Amino acid sequence: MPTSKKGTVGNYLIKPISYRGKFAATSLGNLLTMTLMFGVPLYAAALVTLGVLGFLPGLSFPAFFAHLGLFLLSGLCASLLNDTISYIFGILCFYTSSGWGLNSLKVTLISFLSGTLLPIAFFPKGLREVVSRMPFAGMSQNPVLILMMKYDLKESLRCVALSVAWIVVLELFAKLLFSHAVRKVTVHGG
Amino acid sequence: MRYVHLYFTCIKRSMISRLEYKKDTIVALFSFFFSNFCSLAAIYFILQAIPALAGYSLPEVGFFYGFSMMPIALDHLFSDEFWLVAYRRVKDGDMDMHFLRPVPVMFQVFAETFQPEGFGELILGAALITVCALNLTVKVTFGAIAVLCVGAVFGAIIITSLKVAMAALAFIFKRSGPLLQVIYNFSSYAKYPLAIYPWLIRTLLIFVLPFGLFISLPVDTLLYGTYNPWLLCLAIIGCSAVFFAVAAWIWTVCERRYESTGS
Repeated sequence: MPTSKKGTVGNYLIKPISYRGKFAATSLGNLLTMTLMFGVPLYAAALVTLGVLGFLPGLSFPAFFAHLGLFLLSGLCASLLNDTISYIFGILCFYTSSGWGLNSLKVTLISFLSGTLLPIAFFPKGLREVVSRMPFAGMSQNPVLILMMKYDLKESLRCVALSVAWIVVLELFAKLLFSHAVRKVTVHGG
Repeated sequence: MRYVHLYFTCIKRSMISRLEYKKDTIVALFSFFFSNFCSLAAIYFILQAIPALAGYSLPEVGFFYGFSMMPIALDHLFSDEFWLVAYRRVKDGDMDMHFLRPVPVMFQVFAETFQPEGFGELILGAALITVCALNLTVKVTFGAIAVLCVGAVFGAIIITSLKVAMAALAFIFKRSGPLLQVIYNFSSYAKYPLAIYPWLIRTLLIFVLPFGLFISLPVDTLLYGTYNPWLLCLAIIGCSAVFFAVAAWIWTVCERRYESTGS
């Protein structure tokens, strides 16, 4: 986002690579290193510790691996969703030339609707129904609940499918928005 | 005196440069109200879901939550720029300009931004404290009020010191944002009474990352008179002095190791 204010956006737009692809590649790279460096070791350590202490009784292995696989899938979706939503807010910066307000709006929106500020389970019923159908629930709450085996397989699959559907919809929207916004962008030197 | 004048000049410039982007300012204003609305809604949902916690009644839990926002909000007002230093500015080679000016770099970073969003949190916290206090029956002593004020102000200094120390590491490692985030997130443990935690976390929150020392203990003192308020005041002030001194020392050491990444 800061690239729009400083004018460095011009440098990217003249390069013969996809503007969208650049961000997606960066965020997938981050996801991969974070998962390998922190995710896997920490998760393995926690699993062994809890297993030894006897906190995981009656763990059946086929179900466990199914959930683990679905978690990895939904984690990937979470990262893509996050990236797409950030990208959309990033494009909106083309209209405002500055990211301060849009960025704080994005942070608030995501932390409230994704259940990081307060788990969605605490929301009153009507609001909970709406929020759990929005893309934000797939960004942190659903992957965690899948990993903790709080959802059964059918419910987990439904969550992943919902995330994939949202990624497609948002990506199409971003494409339309970008083709309109790129005509509005003002390059402030760079 | 010169620095006070300089601080206000810098902050004025930074506000003007933000307001220059008109559409963005409107979005920022909207976002400001929206984020406060979200926090209020979150508190309301919590209060509806949790009737009482570890023997603390609903208004008491609310009081804790409201008071915990005070030092966090005060810190938010003055030291938001350190997030950018930790996450981005050193990595992008953006700090060079500060090293060319004849003013301490730490001062310049403080003078870079003033976050009016902090006022919203202050008002929200104060509102929550007032509402909950009206539903409480405690004997308010002068000492308890004093320890709450000390907790809010000097607690903010402790949070800022932690931020400064963690952001300073970026001078060596180029990027220390995630580390700062981890330390800062401990403040969310302090939103609830310490009594709900096992002893290990409780000890950690009093002696190592003292969020409990300046949030939970003062509130306990007001509600139950658990601690001697004046001794507690002394402990908090002493702790904040030590934290600030150590943070300033870390900052100076790391600053000398700064190498520009170019831009």
